[in-house]
Amino acid sequence: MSEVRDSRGNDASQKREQENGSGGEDKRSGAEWVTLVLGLIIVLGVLGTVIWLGATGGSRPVSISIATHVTEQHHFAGGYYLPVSVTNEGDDAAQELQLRATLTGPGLEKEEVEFTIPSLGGGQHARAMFVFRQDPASGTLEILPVGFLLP
Amino acid sequence: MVASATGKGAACHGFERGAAVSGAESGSEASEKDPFGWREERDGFVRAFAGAWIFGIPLLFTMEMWWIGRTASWKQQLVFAGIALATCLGLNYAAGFRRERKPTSFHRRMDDTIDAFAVGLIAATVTLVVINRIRLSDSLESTLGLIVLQALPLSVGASFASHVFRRESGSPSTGESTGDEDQGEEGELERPHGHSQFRNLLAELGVTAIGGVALGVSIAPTDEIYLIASGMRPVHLVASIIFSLLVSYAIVYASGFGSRPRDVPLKSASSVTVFAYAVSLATAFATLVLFGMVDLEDGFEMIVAQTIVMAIPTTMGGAAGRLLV
Repeated sequence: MSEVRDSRGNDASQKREQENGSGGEDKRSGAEWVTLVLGLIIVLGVLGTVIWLGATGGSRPVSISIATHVTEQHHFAGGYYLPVSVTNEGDDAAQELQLRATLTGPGLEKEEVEFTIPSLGGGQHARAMFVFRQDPASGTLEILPVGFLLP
Repeated sequence: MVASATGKGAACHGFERGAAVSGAESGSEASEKDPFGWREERDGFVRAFAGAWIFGIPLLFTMEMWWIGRTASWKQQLVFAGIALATCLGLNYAAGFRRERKPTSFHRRMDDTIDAFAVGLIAATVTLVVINRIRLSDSLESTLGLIVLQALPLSVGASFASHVFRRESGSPSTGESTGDEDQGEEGELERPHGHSQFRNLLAELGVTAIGGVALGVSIAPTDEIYLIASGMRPVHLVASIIFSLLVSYAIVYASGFGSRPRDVPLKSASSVTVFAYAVSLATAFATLVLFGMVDLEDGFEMIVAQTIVMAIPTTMGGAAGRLLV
C-alpha cells in the first residue's frame, strides 16, 4: 500500500500513531465521527421523543375501556372463551388491574369471572380471554374494572 | 450478575485472536490497513454489543423490568437515562468499549458514553422485538419507557466491555473468519490433527455447556421463559434462532477480542457456532427440565418454543464460556 504524506513529510501511519498517543488523542477518526453522529441521533431522538411526549401529553387519570370480541368467541371442553381488549385511555399507568365479568340472564346461573392484568401503561392495551361455563351470548354480560394500583 | 462473573473469568484467560486491528499490530500497520478506523470501530462496537448482552440479558428476561418500564412516567424515563449516561461516563474512565488508549479528554469520554447508551438502546430494542415484548400496537410512551429502562444495564455492560473482553498480546493466533489471510496461513501451520482436535472440540463444547448453565440457572426457574414462549409466533422463534447465532458468533469470533477459533475438526467459525448452538439448545432444555419448568402436557410446540427462548441466554453464556478456552 502506498504511503500518503502530508505537506510536512509525515506519513499516514505516523499521524495515526500520534492520534492514538498523547499528541493527537482528541482527534477522532472518520469512523468515530460517523458513529458519534449516529449515536447522537439515536440518543437525542429517543430522549427528545420522551420529552416531547411528556410535554405534549396530558395527565389524565387511568380510564379503562373494555371491548368484547363476540365473533371470535369459541367453545372448547365445556368452556366458552370470550376474547376482550382492555385499553387504558388515560395517561397515567395502572398496575395490578383487576377485571370482573358478570354473566346473568333468564335461565342462567349467575357467573362471575375475574382476572388481573399486571401492568397497563397510559395508552397501552392488552388482549385477554374470559372463560365462562355458560354461553355469554345467551345472557347479559357486564365487564368492569374492580381496582388497580397506582405506580 | 452471573453474566458479569462469567465475563470476568473470560477476561482473565482470554486469548488474543489476532483478528483485524489487534493489539499486536503496530499503530502504523493498523493505519495502513484501516486508514479511517472502520475496522477498529467495528471491533469496538461488536465488543460493546457483546458486553451489553452478556451483562444485561437476565434483566431483559425479567417481567418486573417490563412492568416498571411500561408504567414509568416521562420524568422517570429521563432519570433512567441520566443514571445510565452518568454510570457509563464513570465506567468510560476505567474501561470503555473501544481499544485501550491513553487517557483522553472529557469530550472523548462523552463520545464513548453517548455511543454506549446508543448501543444499549439498540440492543434493548432488538432483543425485546425478537422476544415479542414490543408490538406495533403498544403505545409509544410505554414502549420508550421499556426501552430506556432496559438500556440502562445494557449500556453499563457495553461500557466495561473492553475489560470483560480484555485482549492479551503475544498469544497464538489461528485463522478464521474476519478476513486476514495471513492469520489463516499461520493457523494452518499450527493446526494439530487427530485426537487433539477432538479434545479441543470437546473442551470447547464443554465450556459452552458450562457457560450456558452458569447464565441459564439465573433465568430458567423464572416464569418469564414460559410467558415469553407462550407469546412467540413462528416468526419470533426463527428470529430468536438467528439472533442467538449472530450474537454467539459476534461474541467469540467476529470482534477479535476474545478466543481464537480452536484447532477443531470443524473448519469454519460458522460451523462451530452452529454446533455450539445445538449444545446451547440442549443446555437450555436441560436447565428447564432441572427446574421443572417443562410440562410434557403442554405439547411439543410449547416445549420447542420454551427451549428456543431459553437458548438465547444459554447461547450467550456459552459464548462467554468459550472465551475461557
